[in-house]
Amino acid sequence: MNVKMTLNGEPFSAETPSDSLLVDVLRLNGFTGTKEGCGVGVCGACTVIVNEVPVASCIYLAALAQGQDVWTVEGLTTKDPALLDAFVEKEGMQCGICTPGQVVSAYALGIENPKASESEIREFMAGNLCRCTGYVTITESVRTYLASK
Amino acid sequence: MSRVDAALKASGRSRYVADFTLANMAYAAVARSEMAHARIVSIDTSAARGCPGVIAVFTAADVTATPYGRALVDTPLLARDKVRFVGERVAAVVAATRHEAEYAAAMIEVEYEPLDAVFTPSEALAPGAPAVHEQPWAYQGAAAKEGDPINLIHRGTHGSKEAVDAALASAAFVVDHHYTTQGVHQGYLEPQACIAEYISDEEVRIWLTTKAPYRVREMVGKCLDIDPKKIELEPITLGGDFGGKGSPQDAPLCTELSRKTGRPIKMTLRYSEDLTAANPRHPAEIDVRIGADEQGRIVAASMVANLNAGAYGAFTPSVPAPHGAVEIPSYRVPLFYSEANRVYTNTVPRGNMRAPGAPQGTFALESAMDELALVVGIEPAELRRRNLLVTGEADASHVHWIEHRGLETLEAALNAVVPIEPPEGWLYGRGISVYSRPTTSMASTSLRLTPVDDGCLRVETPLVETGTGSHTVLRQMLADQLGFAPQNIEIVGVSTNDLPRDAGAGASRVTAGFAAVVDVAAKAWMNRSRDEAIVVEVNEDSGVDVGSYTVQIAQVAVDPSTGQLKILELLNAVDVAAIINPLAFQMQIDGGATMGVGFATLENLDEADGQVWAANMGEYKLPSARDVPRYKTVKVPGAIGLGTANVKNIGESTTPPVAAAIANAVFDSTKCRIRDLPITAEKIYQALKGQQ
Repeated sequence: MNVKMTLNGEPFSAETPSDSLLVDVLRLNGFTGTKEGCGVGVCGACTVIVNEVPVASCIYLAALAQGQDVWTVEGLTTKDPALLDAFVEKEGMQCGICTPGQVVSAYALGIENPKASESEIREFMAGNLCRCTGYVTITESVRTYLASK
Repeated sequence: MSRVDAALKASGRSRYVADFTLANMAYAAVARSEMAHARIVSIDTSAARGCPGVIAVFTAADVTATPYGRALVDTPLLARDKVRFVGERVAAVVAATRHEAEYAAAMIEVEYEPLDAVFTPSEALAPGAPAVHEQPWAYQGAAAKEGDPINLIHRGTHGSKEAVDAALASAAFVVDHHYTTQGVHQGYLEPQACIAEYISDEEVRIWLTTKAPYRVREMVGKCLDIDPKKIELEPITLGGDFGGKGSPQDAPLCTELSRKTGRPIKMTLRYSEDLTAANPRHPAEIDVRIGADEQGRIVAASMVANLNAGAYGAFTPSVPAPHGAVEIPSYRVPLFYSEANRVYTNTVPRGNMRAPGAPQGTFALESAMDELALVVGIEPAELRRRNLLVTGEADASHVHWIEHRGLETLEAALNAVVPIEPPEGWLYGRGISVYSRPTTSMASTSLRLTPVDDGCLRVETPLVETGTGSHTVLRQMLADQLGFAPQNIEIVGVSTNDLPRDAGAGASRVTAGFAAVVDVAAKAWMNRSRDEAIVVEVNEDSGVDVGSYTVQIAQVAVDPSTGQLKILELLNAVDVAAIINPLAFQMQIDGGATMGVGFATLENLDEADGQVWAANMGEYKLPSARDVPRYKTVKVPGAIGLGTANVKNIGESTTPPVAAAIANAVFDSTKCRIRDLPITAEKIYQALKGQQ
């Protein structure tokens, strides 16, 4: 099928099997900032925004994105530089494989609850696993981003 | 100055192995064994060959028969004649896309004749147990000899069992307990991935999720009879390691498939494959006996561990010193016997994971110390105070460390802990645990420094940045020693063809290794001819054991009606020398402790009957931001470090003591002793019920 969407604010279309997952369509078309970790919608590394809501693109059919407004880490960090600045300043990362997903979820929290407390941040971000940091610097990065809004 | 790679990583521009696509690349997927132990009667690949996009299908008959491995060379590219664990590679498909390869792999039909299997070390060591390998002594690098128990890979003993038995028989107090730990996975969020491009025996390129590229090229070369120097491991960004990415993984197979098909081959594991068929931590069965005199001073101790090494022993940690699972590095033990048995079973092969052996052994030892305190009738902290080594004393294995700062670290921890109120109606408890670990520099790495325009410096390193911030630390050390501003130094990871050597990230030696090579580089830089690039290397073992103590105190609350456990705070008191990058250092403390919390309370591959039941991340629970406790850190400065940079280890210090700190706190709160990890609400509930 031909899947058409708005991707990072630009028109995007791709020819793909109808059972393709959104993560694969994005990655095969050069948007490799979106990572695939667990493949079952648990770790959050593949998080993207569809119509202002965070989704796990590894369990999201590309066909569902037809005609929708999709944002990946590449687009969000360009559109909202405070997002990138917060994670760089607070070093909310180590190996970096979960970081794009963390960044995208932080953006989503900024839409849903920009005044989130620390425990609300931790609750919201619980769908984005990190094996390296112990979450202190990630939580700080999210807090810094929200404070910039 | 932030991390060198922060903006690249946060914007999604860092390139990991899975992100690369080569021209003309094909994709591999494997069919895996569904049997724990079985003879392969036949493999029918005809349906797979007819699937869309399939280029070729391979079984053991089509690839090299030479196995691969690090010390013990026992791992085949594809199962030959029989399968030894559920998840073993049986056949490989090469196809135009990943999905086509996976689809075709699922169409491969294997007829098996089931064999009796062994799943635990006890089963595997029982007389008459079925043999996982018929002639384990025949493999290159085998420690086992003909006539040994058939499934024994290696038995390492230190000290005299008779002398320890005699001392324990006459000791005033003795504890003798059995502890068990579960299989857990490194949990890096980047599944293992490989791209291999075989052009000729003179030119092979590999992109692999590895932290040890020089070791990998040796192993791939030996297996495939290619000169290792002709195999180039390309620089990559690594999405987490924690010990699990030191083996060659699927690189020998992918290189062989590339040689056979003439195409670059990419193989990325699904996470379920990584959980069930990579190289997780050894489950352990550990017996601890400790004897003490009337004052609670240890007179003798024995630690005996049976480690489940799984179906292949190629990447199970093998060290000549006492295995990490049976070390007692912190206490004065006049008579010590240790024994570690690594045993073949029909389960997933095991590998290294953060402080190999120590999380299992420290859980057993530090739980037993609390059990000893109870029978002696003194506080757990006081028992440790009476037995911690002081500078000048040799440890239980007769190793002299440069100093011992366990007592200072213990007092710092005790002084810093502030009691936290549990939720109403919950029981409160506090537990303590001690761990110490040496850094021996074993620096073996190299660097190239090239002056570039505008007073900038380009520095090439073969060391893979596993995520720890090592390249940032390197930049900082060079900036300090050479007088450059950090922002004028560019750190570049390069391939194995570009620089002479690197030992691979691991063993808590990266910062010490960098410090050694930066010393040499600084001297060479001062003496260089104008504007020339310089290459320096170090290959030395400092020979001095610089110890590093961690004392943890866990405060917990337990709901007596359900057994639910809440960790109120985990305090890490760490004995430190110089700290190059405080934030990266802190993240090692917090991240290491978080991994310990997972091991202690959440994570479990849930192995039974040869199956890994927690075969996806929905079942295999890593701690999330919501699950981690509050951390408190106390640094005890003033230690002697290594080299002019005066540094010591941190990356493997805070994981091992966590499980015992929590088990001891659970005992303190409930009087229930949990000797089997993980410590779940169900186990606490059952233990509480048993008390009534």
